[in-house]
Amino acid sequence: MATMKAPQRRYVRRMALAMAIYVASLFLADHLIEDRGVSGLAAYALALVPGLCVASIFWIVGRLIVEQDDEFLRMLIVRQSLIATGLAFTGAAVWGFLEQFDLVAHVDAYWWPVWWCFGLGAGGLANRITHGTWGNCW
Amino acid sequence: MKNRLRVLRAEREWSQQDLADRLEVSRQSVNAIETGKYDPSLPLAFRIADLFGMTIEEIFLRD
Repeated sequence: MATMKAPQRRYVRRMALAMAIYVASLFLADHLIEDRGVSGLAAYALALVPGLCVASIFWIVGRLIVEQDDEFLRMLIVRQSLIATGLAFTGAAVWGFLEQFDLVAHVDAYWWPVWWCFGLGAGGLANRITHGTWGNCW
Repeated sequence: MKNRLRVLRAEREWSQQDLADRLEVSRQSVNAIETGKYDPSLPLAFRIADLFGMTIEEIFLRD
């Protein structure tokens, strides 16, 4: 297996850090707000951190696009991201209207970025089919 | 766009990885260009042409 280039190494490091903070902050917020009854500004601050960690995924993928010096691999990441965005937003729009008319159960909004991440997998598959490689954003 | 990259590489007995290393790109890039799945940017096309000591038009052909 080829060794990772610097942009991929930074991507993996940033993603690992973001996910570690996400898990820790989620447990902390759950414990302090649900079990210990923390409220007010402190509760808002605690609840914001997991969401911002998920948001950081977009920044991390954006940095990978900016820092990737191989133009072909960069194009593959852009394709992957556009496919993921299309799938996640389509899911959100369609589900939102189905939910509006009480035809489906409620889905919490934080699941749509998660579907965006699954969409990256679909984008990788599309790259494999059309360009012969999955790319390096996984 | 068609190109003669595979033939030029084979004449020099370079692997795709050898060519990728010389061009400072990934092996996937070389494979995608050779198979016509990706057309390189003008700067990369110039680097390829310079490496083989040829003009861009001698390597990349109109469809």
